[in-house]
Amino acid sequence: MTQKNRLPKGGRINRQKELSFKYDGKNYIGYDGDTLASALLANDVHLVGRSFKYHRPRGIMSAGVEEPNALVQLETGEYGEPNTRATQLELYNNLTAKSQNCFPSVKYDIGAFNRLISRFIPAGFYYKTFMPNMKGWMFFEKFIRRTAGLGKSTGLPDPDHYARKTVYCDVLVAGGGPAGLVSALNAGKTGARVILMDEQNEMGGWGLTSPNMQIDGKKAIDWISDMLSKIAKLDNVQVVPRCSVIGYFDYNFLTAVERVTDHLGAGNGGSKPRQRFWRIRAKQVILAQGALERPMLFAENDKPGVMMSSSIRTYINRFGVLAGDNIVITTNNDTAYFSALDALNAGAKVTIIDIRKDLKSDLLEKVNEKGITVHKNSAIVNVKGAHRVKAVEMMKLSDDGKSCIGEKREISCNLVGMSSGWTPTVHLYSQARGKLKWDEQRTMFIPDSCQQNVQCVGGCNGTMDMSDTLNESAVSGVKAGKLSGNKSVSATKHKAVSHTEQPPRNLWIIPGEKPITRDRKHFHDFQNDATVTDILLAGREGYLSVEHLKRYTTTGMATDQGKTSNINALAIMAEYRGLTIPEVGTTTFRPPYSTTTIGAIAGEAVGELFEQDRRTPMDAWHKSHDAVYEPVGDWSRARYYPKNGEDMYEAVQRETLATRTSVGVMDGSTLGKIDIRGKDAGKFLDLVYTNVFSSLKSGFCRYGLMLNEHGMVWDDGVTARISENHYHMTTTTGGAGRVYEWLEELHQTEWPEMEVFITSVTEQYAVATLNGPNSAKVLSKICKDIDLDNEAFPFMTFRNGTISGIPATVYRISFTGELSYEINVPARYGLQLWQEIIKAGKEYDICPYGTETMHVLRAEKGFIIVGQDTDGTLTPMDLGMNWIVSKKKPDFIGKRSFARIDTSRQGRKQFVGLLTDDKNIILPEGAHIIESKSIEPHVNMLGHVTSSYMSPNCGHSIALALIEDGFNLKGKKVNVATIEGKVYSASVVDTVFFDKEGKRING
Amino acid sequence: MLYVRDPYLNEMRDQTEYHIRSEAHKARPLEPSKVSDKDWGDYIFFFANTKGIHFERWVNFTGHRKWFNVIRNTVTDEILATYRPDEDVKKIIADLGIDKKDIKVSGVLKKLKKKSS
Repeated sequence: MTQKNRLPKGGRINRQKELSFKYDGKNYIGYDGDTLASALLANDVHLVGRSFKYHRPRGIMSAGVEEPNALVQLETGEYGEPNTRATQLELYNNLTAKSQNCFPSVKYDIGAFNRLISRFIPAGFYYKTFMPNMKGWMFFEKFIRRTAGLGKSTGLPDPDHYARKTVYCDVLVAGGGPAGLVSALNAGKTGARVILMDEQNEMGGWGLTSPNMQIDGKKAIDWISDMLSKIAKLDNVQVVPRCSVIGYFDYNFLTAVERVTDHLGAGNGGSKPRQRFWRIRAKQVILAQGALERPMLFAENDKPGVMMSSSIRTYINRFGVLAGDNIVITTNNDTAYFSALDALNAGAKVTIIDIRKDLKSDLLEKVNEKGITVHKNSAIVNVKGAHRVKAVEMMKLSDDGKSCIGEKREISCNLVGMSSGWTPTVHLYSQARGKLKWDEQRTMFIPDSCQQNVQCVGGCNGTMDMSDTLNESAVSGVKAGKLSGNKSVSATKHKAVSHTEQPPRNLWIIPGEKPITRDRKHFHDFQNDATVTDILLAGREGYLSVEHLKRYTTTGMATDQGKTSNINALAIMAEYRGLTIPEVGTTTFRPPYSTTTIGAIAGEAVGELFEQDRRTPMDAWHKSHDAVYEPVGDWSRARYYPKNGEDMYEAVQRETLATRTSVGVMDGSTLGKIDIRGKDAGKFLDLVYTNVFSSLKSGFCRYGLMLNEHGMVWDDGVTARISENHYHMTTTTGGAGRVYEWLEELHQTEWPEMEVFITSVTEQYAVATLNGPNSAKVLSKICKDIDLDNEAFPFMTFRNGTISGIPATVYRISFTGELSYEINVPARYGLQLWQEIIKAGKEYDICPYGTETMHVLRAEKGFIIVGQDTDGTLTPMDLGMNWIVSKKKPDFIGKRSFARIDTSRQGRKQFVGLLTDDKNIILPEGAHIIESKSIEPHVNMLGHVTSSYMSPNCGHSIALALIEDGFNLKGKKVNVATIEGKVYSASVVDTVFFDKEGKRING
Repeated sequence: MLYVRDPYLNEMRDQTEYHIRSEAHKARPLEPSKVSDKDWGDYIFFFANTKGIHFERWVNFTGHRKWFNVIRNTVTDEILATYRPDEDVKKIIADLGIDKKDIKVSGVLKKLKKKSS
């Protein structure tokens, strides 16, 4: 395989190392140092994809991050990756890639049918056509999405691993071109800790594109290696290649992605991560990201073989690739002339079409000398060729530049270079909240002012002259080093051969043969297939603001985020509206600057490390006994223990019945536990609970409700008084964290004078809860030093003792209404305690049960679960829990709000029980309680079902509900509507369904 | 991501170590039962919601768990000062040279009996 377009010498490639690769099923050869794009161009492959909407053939347009067209499907199987930019993809041996958005092949693409009807599918077509009829859209959407689009995700787990790194530095330099190198060197000389990052595989930036430019009396390429060796001598400067700074956030917090082993090929990274995500906090930031060339908006400017003029130069000088040997370069500025000269030197025939009227530049002489024909005041009106440029058609421009005049001339060529000026890469500066100002003369937004500690240098500061760039970078480097607290040094001085630019001519739309609306397509956003007429259509339809324009035409919304299209789009809209560009405004640049793999952002936080999964000390037993888990807050709790193929319903019915018949045991270790001490502990608890705790005797427990200041229930639990100045509080599992933080908040900000010490001890204790008539019998077998007699150890007290030698605190509290013991032991004994209980309980057929059975058992007794039966809008009175609200205390959190008109009114939603007429109907939780018997609109909703279960102990389904004026409805019927459209009749009853007298509490 | 001087550690820390709660210097009335419905409503429902200089409460929830106050410009997200509840806020405001008329806090502050925090 010959590399037809490879130059005999030159470039930063290693010609000794051939690499073979496969593109669209064909084998090619490239060199080490190539990108996929340069290797394809070396093999004369221009056509690399089909466009997003019209399926037009597209070629490689640039040589870097701004590439809108050359997005490829890289590799297959688990290493597959869609939308990889061929211009940034370093070639490795046996690389395999495919074109995207085409079927069956890039040359013969069925979707290209869209091209034929493109006149009828302008911006907004799909929405206008399908949206008025939503059903139609729902049907057609999947087909439309299939024809429009980019690559395909593999749908497989990512086999690579990614790393994450957080660093703090004095100076971060983003961009390793000449400006970045000088900045880093000077900042480094101050002694500052400097990090220099560049997205390319080697430092040098623009210097790699123009290696023969003279800097400090040397060729740029030699000057760069000189600078790098100077920087390498400074231990305090870290140089990171292949690393894109993608985000700039508050307080100089930046993010970057380093492609650590991507260039070695899929799966060849070894023990190293594929990519590394950097989180950087820098005292000072220097942005040296350069500038991006803008495309020129002439007709058919998207044909394969039309590329940015500077990219032609990059391919020649950096990769030794002449992408075409018969080149037409069209420009409105001087920089393209350098590309023309380099192409000529590389052996190409070159013609320049300059839209400017009068050319005074010394460059004109230079190119004329070499025999390059320059057509001034002329423009391309058509590009011929289907899969590759064959010729351009050129006409003279009218005086005002609004139309083309005179004879049409055809110039044959196989490559077109275009340049319509430069856009400073101000993305990061803008993300940093930097303000931009418009430079009318040079038609660019340049940095103005920023609240953060940031400086822009070189191209991204709008400084296009190389001498100015280098000296400004040197001064900025020293300044950044000094401002970050390092010594002051004198800035290095530099001199580059300068060129005096002749001002550009700004024709945002290059006129064609016909008026623009009837002319061939002039693309401004290549990746999203948006044309100049789309912008004008948006204007006519009133989408005038840039935000509307962007969404209507999808300009700038593709993966390149409009790097080449934004300014052109703004300018055209400004022209349409008769405003200046700053008056039209820009949209906000948002991170990431360039496309980033989700894998890099996720880093190690995948799989098991994705989220904290808290497990109790008894977890090993639950696991080995086939427990089914449910997440509760951060915890995974055993939900039920199915036996012999039971489903949840069957298992829960069995567990519920067994607990009330004999004895059950539950792992309650997840319960929030807070240790509260200090001489004001009682006083403090009186303020955070609705009832009184200062009067509680040592050795006793009390159930308490916590309200927020609005008077609404937000947590509950039992608190025990261990001694005079020591309480042990329990909270709900999910509420433990927020209750703890709330207590600290109240203590520290409202009552700092109180002597209270609050400590979370949730993880310090494992808890097993014995419930059921036989629980005392089981406990007595393993606990010999606590008298379990009801008189000696009454309900709502606790005792300390030992259980099979384990120190334990046993609380006689109950969430089931049964005789119950809540056994707390130091967490490390949790599993042993559990095993002892199971062993001791064997003769009573002890039944381990999970959270689901706990829910049924407590519902049978009408006990609330905060967050299930309550929703932050219920007072204790709404729950029928007036008994827990102290009338004596002058103050507690929430008390004052009881007197508010809305809180104290009659007929609020109240907590009641429901019994369905048909005892076998289990109402769905969340079902609406309605006035009418049918669900024809409009029905009044009176409330909803909060909890609902089949109660085997009652032999009837039971439900708890919140109903407006529910207390007064007791004994009456209500209707409950389900989502399936059924309506059930139910009686409003008391919330206690089982053991109404509460006799079972003492066994 | 914001970067704050933790007034207890006296060093710069990342925002992710903190929870941010509502307005600072909004003391709970000493005797809520004596506060009118309107003032109570102001206390629990109404906040300064400033565009500009905002006094707010932060808590370190990953380490020492102490509460402190932050003066932040809600427009620029610049943090002007951080201080412990026992520090003299008047002096901090004076040191920063903030004009009194730029300070907007909940009206309730003036009416309710203030406490040290």
